[in-house]
Amino acid sequence: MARTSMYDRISEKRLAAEAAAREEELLKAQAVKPAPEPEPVTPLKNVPSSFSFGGFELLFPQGFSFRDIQTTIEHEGDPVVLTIKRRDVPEGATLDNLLAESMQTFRKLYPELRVIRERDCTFAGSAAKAVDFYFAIGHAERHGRLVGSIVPVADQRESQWLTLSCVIDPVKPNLSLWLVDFDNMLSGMAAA
Amino acid sequence: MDYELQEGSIALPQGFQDRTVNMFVLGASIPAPLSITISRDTLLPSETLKAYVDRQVKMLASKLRGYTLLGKKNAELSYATPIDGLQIDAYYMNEGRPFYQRQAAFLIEPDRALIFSTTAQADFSAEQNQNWLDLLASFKVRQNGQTVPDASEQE
Repeated sequence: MARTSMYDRISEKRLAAEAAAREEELLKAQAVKPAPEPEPVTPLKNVPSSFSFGGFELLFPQGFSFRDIQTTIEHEGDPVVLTIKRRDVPEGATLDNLLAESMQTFRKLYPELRVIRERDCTFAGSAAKAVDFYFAIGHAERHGRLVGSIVPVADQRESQWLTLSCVIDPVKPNLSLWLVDFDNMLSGMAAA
Repeated sequence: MDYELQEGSIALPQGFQDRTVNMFVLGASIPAPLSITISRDTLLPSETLKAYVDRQVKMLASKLRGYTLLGKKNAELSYATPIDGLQIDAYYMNEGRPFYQRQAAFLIEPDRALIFSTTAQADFSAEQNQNWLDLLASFKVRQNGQTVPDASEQE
C-alpha cells in the first residue's frame, strides 16, 4: 500500500485537531448552560367552579365541581373544540397507560388517526405528556392535541387524571398560531 | 461587490441583495430523508423578530395547505458570539404523509434575518435534535470577509 505524503499527514492532523476543537467548543457550550429551575407542582383545589362568558360570571354552588368541560370557542369565525376532563386515577395507573386510554377514545371515533408527535412536558409542575394527532372527517382535515397529567389534589391522597384537548381545522390560516396559544394558555393556568 | 461562494467568488454588479439559499441534503435519495437550508430575508420597516416569525407562519399556512404550527420557542445561534432567535416546529401533510419542518430565525442585522430550516419525512430523532443544536452552535459570524475567532482561538 502506498504511504501518504508528509503533507497529507500534516493536513489530516490539522483536520483532526480542528474537529476536536469544534467538539470541545460544543461541549463547553452545553456545560455552561444552567439547567432550568423545575416548575413548582400546583395541586388541584376544592374550590367552587366558575366560568366567564361574554362578561357574565357563572359561579357554581359549593360542592359542585367541573368534571368535564366541552366547549367550542371561535377565533375570527373559525371554531376550536376544547375538552377538559378530570378523573380519579385508578390504582397502579401510569401516565403512559392513562394517555393510551384517552387516545383510544379518539382512535375509536377516527380509526385512521395518525400520531404526529408525542412528547414529555409538564402541566402545573406535574409530569405530563402531549400528543399531536391528525385525522379526517370525510374530506375535512383535523388536527388534535391532547395533554394529560396526573395532578395531585390539595388535602387529598389521591391524584386526578387531567386531560385538556383541542381540535382544529389545520387548513384555516386564522388558526395557524392556535397551538402556541393553547400551550401558553396551559402554562398560565396554575398561575391564574 | 465581491461575493464568496463555496467554490470561488464572483463580482456582482451594484444593486443586488444577497438572497442566497444554501441547501444540504442527507444521502442521495429523492426526496431526501432530511434536508437543511439556510436562507436570508429582510424584515419590514420596524418589524420585530417575533412579528416577522408570526407573519411568516401565517403566510406559510395560507400557501401550504395544512401547514400546522406545533410549537414556538427561543433559540440561540453561535456559541462564539451568541445571537438570540426564535424557533418554530411545524408539519404539513403531503400525499397522506406528514413532513416535519423546523425553522429558526435570527437577526444578524437590525432588519436582516438568517433562517435555518430542516425538513424530514419522519419526526426528528433525539440525535437529529442534538445535531440541529450543534449546527446552530457552530455558526461563526463573518465580518469583513473573516469569521470571528471563537473564545478558544483568542486565548
